[in-house]
Amino acid sequence: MKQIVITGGKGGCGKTTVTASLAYLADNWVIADCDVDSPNLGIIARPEIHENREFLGKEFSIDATSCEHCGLCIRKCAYGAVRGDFTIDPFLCESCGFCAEICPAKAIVERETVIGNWRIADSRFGPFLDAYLQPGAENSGKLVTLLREKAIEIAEDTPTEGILIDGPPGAGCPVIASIAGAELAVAVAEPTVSGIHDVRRIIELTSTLRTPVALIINKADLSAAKTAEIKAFAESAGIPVVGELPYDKLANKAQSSMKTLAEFAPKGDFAVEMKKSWMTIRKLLGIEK
Amino acid sequence: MKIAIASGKGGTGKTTLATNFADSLAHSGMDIRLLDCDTEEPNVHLFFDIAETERRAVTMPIPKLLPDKCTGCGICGNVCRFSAIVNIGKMTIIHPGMCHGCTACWELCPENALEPSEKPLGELISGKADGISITYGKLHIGEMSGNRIIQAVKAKADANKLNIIDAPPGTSCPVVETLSEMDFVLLAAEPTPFGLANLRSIVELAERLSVPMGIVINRSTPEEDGIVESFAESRRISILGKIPLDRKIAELYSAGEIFSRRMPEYRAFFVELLSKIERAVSR
Repeated sequence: MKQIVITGGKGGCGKTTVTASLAYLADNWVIADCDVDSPNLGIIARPEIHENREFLGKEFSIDATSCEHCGLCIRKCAYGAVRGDFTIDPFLCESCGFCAEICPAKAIVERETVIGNWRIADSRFGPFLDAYLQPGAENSGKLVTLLREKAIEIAEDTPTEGILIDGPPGAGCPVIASIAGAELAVAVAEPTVSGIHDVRRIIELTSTLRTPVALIINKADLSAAKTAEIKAFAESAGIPVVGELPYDKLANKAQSSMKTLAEFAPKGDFAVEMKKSWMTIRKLLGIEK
Repeated sequence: MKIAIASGKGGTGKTTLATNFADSLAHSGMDIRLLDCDTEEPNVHLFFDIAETERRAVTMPIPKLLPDKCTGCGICGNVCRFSAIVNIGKMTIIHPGMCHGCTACWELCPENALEPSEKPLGELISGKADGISITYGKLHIGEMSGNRIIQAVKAKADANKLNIIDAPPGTSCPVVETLSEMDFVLLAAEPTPFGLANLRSIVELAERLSVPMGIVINRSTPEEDGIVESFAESRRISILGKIPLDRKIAELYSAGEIFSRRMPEYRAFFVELLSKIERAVSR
């Protein structure tokens, strides 16, 4: 069983567009949307949910009746999360529990609270999982890891070649959690100054994590010069380029009709190139000879 | 005033808005601070030729073990909620990558066998370009969280000037860190189903943080805009402007250019945007 993560560093570079089209072309792969801030794949996959579970986090609060206002928590909190009126700012609190540990009056209480949810579903592409972290909540990396564990459990019980992961933007903890341990990271590169900068950082990250990486260039015809720059860089770094997807005006229309671009215009240049890319990815993974 | 530019979804035009907004206002004679808080993928600096005035490391405190003093009591491993310290038998093992810098382990060690040491997290870079004071932060690859760098970038804001702050994408902790203590948040929204779903999340966050907000529709087309407009109306959020879907803008962006320099008719749009924001804030 193989795990492929679609990543790219830059938001809006086309991770979900590529993942959705691959999900459509792939035969019964398990699909996991690991962008827990902005889980958009479900909008296209239209999953039938059969399990919806809560994701719990810790919340600390100060019990006003037992608090003796000594101020130790205010002085010691590394995040400045305890306010002058002896309440805790949930946005600043990182749930380290130090205050509860040191409070002489034992006035700081910890309780579990729902900070997100994760879902298991069937979709027209295959088994589907996604998760949603409430705005401002901590622990996105943990939720990504949990979702990937569940995807593996499902993949083990399903006749499937592997798991297709839609990754989050950026290079921090949820991105690391989405890439670590995958057989292949496919980084979506946009031929823009920002896109090149961001995908280079992701390639640095995949090499730190020792995850094999391939590039797919999205909106390749937006700038011939920048596309050439990406290809030259890929060649010098020994990174395969598995496809050059054209800038397709139909992308937004496809999304509005809740279809993948490869499905909305199956004879279009985008779909044709996507099919070739999928074949190349399968060869890279050794599934196809 | 501090104006953040945010969006639940990446790629909706935050950096395009931030750079063009700052550049147009600077062109009109204002003294602008432009701060890039997307420390995971900073892009603002790519659009300017910056004369650097400062470059320094941003660090965070992590525990350092003094093995001679450690008795292997295991208190540090017990208090650490982030699995950054593990006690195996009498051994104490520190995983610096997991540490959140909460200080509990060294504060509570009865033997003073742990002491804080500074771990490099990333860099803070400041400079000047075209009359704009620019600061951005860069998280080292492999590090989990840029929150401390975001704080350092935000500390460069000048209360007496106009500060434009480019936020990271999404709605999780780095975005919260960026949006706290802002006077206004400008939401870059894309008129697509994905764009709408993520706009809802960032609106929810801005409401919980009690920051006033307004929307700019980017890649706007008359056929698609309705999706954002009806949502904005239902939540009583003003749409302060629209930037059309225009391949020329995309191509200039691709080349790393500030589009309003080549399409100066947009400069007035950004100047007007500021007066709309000022009116909204004073209300």
